[in-house]
Parts: sequence; C-alpha cells; structure tokens
Amino acid sequence: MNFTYFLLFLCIVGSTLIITHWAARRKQTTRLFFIADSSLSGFQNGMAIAGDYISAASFLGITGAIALGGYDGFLYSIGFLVSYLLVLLVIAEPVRHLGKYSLADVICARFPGHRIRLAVACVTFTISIFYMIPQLVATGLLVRLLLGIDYSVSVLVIGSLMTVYVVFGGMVATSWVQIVKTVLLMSGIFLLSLILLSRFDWQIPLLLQQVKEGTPLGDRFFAPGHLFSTPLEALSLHLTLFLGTAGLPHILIRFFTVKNALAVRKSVITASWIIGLFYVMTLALGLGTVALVGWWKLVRTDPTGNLAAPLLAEELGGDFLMAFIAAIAFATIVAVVTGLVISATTSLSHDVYNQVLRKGNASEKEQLRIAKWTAGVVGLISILFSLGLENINVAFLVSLTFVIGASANLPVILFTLYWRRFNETGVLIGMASGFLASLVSVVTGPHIMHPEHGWIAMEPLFPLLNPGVIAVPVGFAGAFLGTVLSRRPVDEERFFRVLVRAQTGMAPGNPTGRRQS
Amino acid sequence: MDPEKPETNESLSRLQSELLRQLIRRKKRLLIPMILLFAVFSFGLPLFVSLYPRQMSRPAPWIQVPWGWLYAFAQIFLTWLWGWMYWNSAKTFDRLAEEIRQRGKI
Repeated sequence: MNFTYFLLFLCIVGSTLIITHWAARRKQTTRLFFIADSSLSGFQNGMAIAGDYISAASFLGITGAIALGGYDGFLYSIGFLVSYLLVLLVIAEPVRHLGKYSLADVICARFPGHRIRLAVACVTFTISIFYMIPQLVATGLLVRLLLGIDYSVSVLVIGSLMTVYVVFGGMVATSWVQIVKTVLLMSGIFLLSLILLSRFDWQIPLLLQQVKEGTPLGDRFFAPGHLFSTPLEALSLHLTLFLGTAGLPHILIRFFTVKNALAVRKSVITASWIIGLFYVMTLALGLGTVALVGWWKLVRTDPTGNLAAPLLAEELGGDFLMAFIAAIAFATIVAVVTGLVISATTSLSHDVYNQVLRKGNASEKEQLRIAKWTAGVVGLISILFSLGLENINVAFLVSLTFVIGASANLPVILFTLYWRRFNETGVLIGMASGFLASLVSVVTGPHIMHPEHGWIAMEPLFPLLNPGVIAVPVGFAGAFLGTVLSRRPVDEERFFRVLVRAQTGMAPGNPTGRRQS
Repeated sequence: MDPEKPETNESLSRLQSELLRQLIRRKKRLLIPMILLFAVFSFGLPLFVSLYPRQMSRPAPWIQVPWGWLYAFAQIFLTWLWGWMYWNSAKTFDRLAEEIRQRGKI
C-alpha cells in the first residue's frame, strides 16, 4: 500500500469525522437533523448543492468521456449544467415555500393523504438507492485500485463512514462534508489545470495540436459523432439531463436548508457557477489526458476512461499529485453518497414512519431516534447491495435515476405547482407511469439486453441507451390523462392556497401570515 | 402558471389579490419567454450536432473555433446570463411578495 495515498485518504476521513463530531455536539432536533435548521447561507448551500451533484460519474466519468470521445463527451457536461436553469426558474423557490423536510411534503401541501405521500416516498427512496449503489461500487473499485485494499473492505469502510456522518451529524454534517468536498475538488482541478496549461507555455493552440497527436481520432477528435449513434439518442440524453435534475429529491431537499427565497436563488446560481466552471476545467483535463497520457495508454489502463484524471495527475505531478486527485475523487463520492443517505432517510423516517404510520404524532425524541435508526438501515442496505454487485456494471443506474426524476417526479411537481385541474389520480398515475416507463425501457434496453455484454444475452427490445425521449412524455401523459379522465371536481380553494404559498411563502389563513413549519 | 382569477378568493384582501395578480403576471411575462428561448437554444445543440455534424465541425470565421464548440460554450454562458437576468428581476418579485405578506394579517 502506498503511504502517500493512505495518508491523504486518512486526512479526508479525519476532517469529515471532525465535522461530524462538531455537528453532533449541537442540540439535536428534527429540524436540525433533516434540514440543518434552515441555517445555511445561500452561498454555503450552493457549494453544498454542487458537492451533492458532482458525482464520481461527473469528475472521473466526464474527464474520461472527453478523453475518449472528444466533443461528444463534453456534451454530457452541458446537459448536466443547463438543467439548473429549470430548477432556478420554476422549481426551487416554490418547493422551498411548500415543503418542510421532504419532496413528499411539497406534493402533500396540495394533496394531503397517505397514498400520495407513500408514492412520493417510494420514488424518492428508489432514486436514492439506485444512485447510491453505483457510487459505492465505484468507490470500492477506486480504493482497491489505488490503495490495494480489498473491494469488500473498501465498501464496508465507505458505507460505514457515510452512515456515521448522517446518524451523528444529520444534515449539518452532510452539508459541511459536501462544502469541504466542493472546495477540495475545485481547488484540486484548478491546480491541475494550471499545471497542465503551464506545460504548454499557457498556449492553448499548442495543447490542441498535441491532442490531435494523442488520439487515433486525430482531427476528428474535435468533431461531433463519436458517442451517440443517432440524433434521437443525443436528443434523448439531453432531454433526460435537462429535466432530470429538477426531479432529484436529494437536490430538492437542499432548498429547505436555507431560510428564504432569496437564499434559495443564491444557492442555485452559486451551484450553477461552480458546476459550469467545474465542467470547463474538466474539459481541459480531458484534453490534457489525451495530449500528455495518450489515448492508447488510457484505454490500456482502464477501457472505460475513468482513470483519466488520476493518470493525468501522475503525469503532471508524479505520485503525490495522483494521490491528491485520488483523495479528491474519494471525497467526491463520500459527499454524494452522504447526501443520498439523508434523502432516503428523510423519505422513510419522516414520510413513512412519522406522517403515515404515526399520523404525524410522533414526538420530537421519537422522530430523531427513528431517523437515526433509519439512516443506519439505509446504509446497511446500500452496503449489502454494493457488496453483491462488485463484478456487475451498474453505471446505468445513474442514468436510470435521472430518467425516473424527469419522468416520475418532475411532471407531478410541475403540475402540482402550476396546474389548477391537477388531482390525486393524476399524481398517482403520473408517478406510476413515469416510473414504470423508465424501468421497462432501461430493462429492455441495451444496458441490460445485449448479445455480448448484457445481463440478458439477446438483442435489446428497446433500442435507446437513454430512454428519456419515451419515458418523459409517458410520465407527463400519465399525469395529464389521469387527471382529465378521473373527472374529479377541482379543489379551487386548496389550489389557491398552494399558489399563494408557493409564490409568496405566505400561508393564507395562517394568522401570522407566514409559512408554518 | 395558471393563477385563475386569484382575486376571487376571500382569504386575501382586495389589495393583496391585486398584488398577487401583479406578481404572477410579471413572473409569467419574464419566465415563459426565458424558458422557451433557452429550451429551443439548448435542444438545438444535440439536434444540430447530430443532423449537421460536418457544418458544426467547420471553424467559425475570425476565431477559428468550430461552430459546435462555440454552440456548446454558448450554453454555459447563456445559463449564467439567464441566471443573472432572473436574479435581477426577482428583486421585484421579492418586493411584491413581501408587500403581500406584510398586508396579510388574514
């Protein structure tokens, strides 16, 4: 085992545990546990959102995708970034005004009832677990590769860490782990980009010239058409990414951690700047990998391209820089999985236990106890799944979560906020149809069905790798048709109350004129 | 957005209803064109690079950067620009929302 790697990994683990200890010393309340008592500033929350959002798939995957596919790899990052505009303009502030701890709170502000809450909680839990498993598997593989530690031990250690952060530190620890990760990640890749450019005397044309020599694509590296087989595939991916973020519960619950609409706005804009700058630097790293490491060496080391950033770091700064970048990748994954654990925990303990089973009557102490136990169970479930999936390619689960977010959650959120006629049947049918369409199209698609490397060795029944172009319209159509065909009377009064509260933060009928929480 | 005559509701005063209507009207006037323009511009990227890969690979005059790359970078800058525009306009929304709340001992 390399001592430098071990030391840097230990630094990350140590600093995050100190954060957790600091968070755990505060007087514990449910508000503190679930939403950090809405005490974060907009800037802090923006950094935490970026930390929550930039996953291993973004840092390691996009750098590799650019190194292997050139221009088309960069298109991925554009989709991830532009999605924040939709979040900013139509989703973030109303969600903050309507919700308390979870996405289900937002929907139930208009449609109170156990069935709706359970449906939203189920989708939230599924998205969180589906997103968490590939992250944990990736960390296990990364740590094994870099430290030589056995996969099972790696997953156990990381799974335990994320559980400890949430159980003892709740949302406060989660947020600060994510903020620290963002600072580390951004400074690390900024440093790497500077060293890279200095190698080429700060002349980008020299770098680009070297890129052409480092890839078998030559001049074509800078042209589109290497990753997407058809226009429909490219469009479908963009649609999924564009709409998916606005339906990801672990991102949406971050808006409850700030105190008002202004701070929500500041959060999203800060996050979009950080994420945009991150992707610009990722582009530089992808190009640098091709120029200095070379396509052939990259593919020989790891055919998926995921080791592009660490290999470039090694080329630029030797063993220490590579260890530093690997430690940042580790911090990246830890921060993302911690955010997912708290999202899954909120949906189970707040929505299912307190609101459905205990009908909202659980005491403060009981809620906290259940939340902590739930976090432990969520951690355990994820660890067990990840241990069993070591040799299986589960990367497709990341895209599946975006499709579910875009097709099951987003139509329901949008219609809840803005469509007067929308009703409970529409919610349930919209969620079910979007969820099933996502699942079926992925299961019958090339990720799972493939004659050579699929779980099911046969030609795919559904041709697209990214099924958003089908699943998203199905989700919207389900919500629309469910509403129209059920012909329930419109509850004007409730819609009006939700509208006022969503747009102003004021609850009509509440004597203080303020949102109750 | 579908406010559907908020002024008819009795839980708000007439002045509050008027302010709410104003808030929603202003939001609609800003957000609908912003979202539509951005969506068209954004979805144009995958469509153009898939349907016209050769044209998008050609360098733009003067700066010698391919159109495809310019288009992709423009998405990043447009995201930031739209965010900044919304940030500025939202100050008016905040003022109106605050006024509605202040008048709201309802």
